[in-house]
Amino acid sequence: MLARIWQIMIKEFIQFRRDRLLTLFLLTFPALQLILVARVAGSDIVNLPLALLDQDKSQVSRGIGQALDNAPELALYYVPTSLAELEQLFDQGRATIGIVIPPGFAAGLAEANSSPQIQIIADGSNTYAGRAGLSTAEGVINTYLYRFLSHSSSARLAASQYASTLVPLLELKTTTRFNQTLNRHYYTIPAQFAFIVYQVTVVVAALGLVRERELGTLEQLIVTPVRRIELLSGKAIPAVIIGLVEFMGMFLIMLGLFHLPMRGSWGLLLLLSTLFIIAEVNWGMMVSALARTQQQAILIIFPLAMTELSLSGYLVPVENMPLGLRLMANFSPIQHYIIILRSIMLKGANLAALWPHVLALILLAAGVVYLSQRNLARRFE
Amino acid sequence: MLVSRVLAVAIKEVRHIMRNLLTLFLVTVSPAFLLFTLAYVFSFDIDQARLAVIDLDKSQIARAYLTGLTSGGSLSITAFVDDYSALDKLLVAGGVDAALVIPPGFGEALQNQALAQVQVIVDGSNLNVARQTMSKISAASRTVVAGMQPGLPEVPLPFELRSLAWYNATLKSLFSMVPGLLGVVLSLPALALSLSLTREKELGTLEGLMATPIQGAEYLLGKMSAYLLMGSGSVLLSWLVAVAWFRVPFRGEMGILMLLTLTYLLASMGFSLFISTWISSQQTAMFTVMMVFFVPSFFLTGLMHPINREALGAVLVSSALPATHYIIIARGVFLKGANLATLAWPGLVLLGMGLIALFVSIGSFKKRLG
Repeated sequence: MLARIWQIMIKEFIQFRRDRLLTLFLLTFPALQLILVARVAGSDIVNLPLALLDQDKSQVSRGIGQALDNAPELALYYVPTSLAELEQLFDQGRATIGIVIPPGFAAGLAEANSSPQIQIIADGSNTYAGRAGLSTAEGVINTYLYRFLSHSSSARLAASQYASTLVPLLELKTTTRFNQTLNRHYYTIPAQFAFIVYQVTVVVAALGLVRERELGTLEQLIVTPVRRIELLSGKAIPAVIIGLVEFMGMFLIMLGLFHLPMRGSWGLLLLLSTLFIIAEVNWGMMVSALARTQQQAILIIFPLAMTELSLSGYLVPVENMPLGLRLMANFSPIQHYIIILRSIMLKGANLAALWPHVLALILLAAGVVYLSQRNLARRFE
Repeated sequence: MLVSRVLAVAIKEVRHIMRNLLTLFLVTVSPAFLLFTLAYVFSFDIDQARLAVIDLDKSQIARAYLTGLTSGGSLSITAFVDDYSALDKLLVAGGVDAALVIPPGFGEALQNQALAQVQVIVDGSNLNVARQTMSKISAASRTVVAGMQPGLPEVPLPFELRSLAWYNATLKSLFSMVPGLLGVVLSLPALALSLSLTREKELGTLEGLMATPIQGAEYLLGKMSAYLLMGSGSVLLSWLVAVAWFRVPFRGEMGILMLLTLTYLLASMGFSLFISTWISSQQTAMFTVMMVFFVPSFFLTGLMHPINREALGAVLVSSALPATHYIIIARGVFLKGANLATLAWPGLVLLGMGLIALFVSIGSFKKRLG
């Protein structure tokens, strides 16, 4: 039995070698994607395009513009001269934040009974950037004006009543555990990595069987003495091996290029990653058995993979999803794997802390293996 | 080039898709289905952040502070612990988003109008949650402490800052994400096209086609037209999901949306056409499209993370992806009620991309064996 499995494995590897392009892609794309996405997405909220409609043109308003530009999160790109121009910039999606300083602002500051207003406008069509931009702009303008006012010799400030509004009574000393610099990479790269391993494994596994069926070579295999279980194992194992190779390659990239910490146990990580890969390979093979053509297999896998991906907490924390989706998310192996990966790498978590997720992975893997064995047995002919 | 031949290929293609109900379903309905799932997941406004608290002061003021923090509804205290090691365990296990430590002397300091301090420890392994938690804590703290100050005489503030969000006043992330995700989801028809092309190569039916008088250009155009048609169907379905189910406001015109979406489909299909002329197996096609277009389009297109215009690499890569331009279009038509003139630039970019990709594909398509 083992000999036949070995023969099938060799056949798979030979076929891989024949498709040079695929092998090249399999080896390089994941690494490239990891590097590209990490590099490019790494900067997060930086240089948000800002439009300043300065209708006051005083020293104060110019100072505000300068302060805003100096903030790393904002960049003064546009200086419209009318509200209509500002609207156009927003409609076209060019500006994310807009500041409107009305005429007479500086004069109003100096007067005792007036509270001149500055408008801070965010492009609500991108809530992520909009929120960040709003709070940054508020902070910058607040700080600048308070500093300006406290240095100013205007009579208004002589009143000691303002002293207490200018001095904060409560100071929050914040430290961030596990991710000292709130480095974006610490957060996205482990998740990206998990996803790529998942992609490679599922693609390879899913298309293995259905390809043979579509091209007609499956018939020939059935006629040979190779038994069902041997064929399936022979196809699954190379997929697992490829998954592990990708895993190790990209793990090295994560550590070497991005200097991500590895605070936990290597052995544990390797073991759990293998478990994860096996679960995914089996899932892929199950889809492979259900579809009649590769096109079908792909069009089934794609939305399902994307759904599983979204439920996995890859981009969006699971805690924020509605209850129904949160429950469903527990059935996604990649969700548990991402948590395990992050915890081991960033927090140095051990088995004791991770056991619910490990258990979930084991159960899911076992479940999928069982289901796929039953399905494949029936669907073979 | 004969239009009749292009039509013939297109009709053949449509027949192929229709023949297999599952495939038809997958090509037209799966984008809408995907939009449905992804949208729920991407409404990531945290409702409540969970806190663990060590109260070393145990004064009435400290308790009032804590009560005030949670009264807003954006924070909830899920655990009171006595020491740092218990706190540590909670943070490592992920049971809380942040921890507050109120030092002894807190109440006294606040009473005497001296500077009081509170230590906040945030779980940094999930950046999104960490940021929102921190801002919730600082906002709530400011409000609570301001309310505790002895009353000030009624003097107007020196200035006022008024913040508002255009197009989406409550900054509801669902409204931002659904139009954006439309771009991601509508790359599925392009995937289907590339699969169809590589399939004919793999199964050998391409040989048969080459024996006919059909020219390379007619073949490619015919295939693309069929999938453009199917793609438009999926656009309508997705639009329906967005407007009827998610109730995303639609302030623009349907005609403009359809027209500009067609240019997007043209661009993405042009790209997949180009890729497919070099690929000989469906497996590789899927892998390539997934890696090169689908996944990057979550990060590199300004869907969530804005594109940093100072970083040349980011600008180049995002401009090369059709989805980047379409996201501006989709958000423009849905939320901003933008007209054709405003969206002319991204529309033209997409049209240009599509035509160039089409021409290059036709040029490199060799009607030969092997």
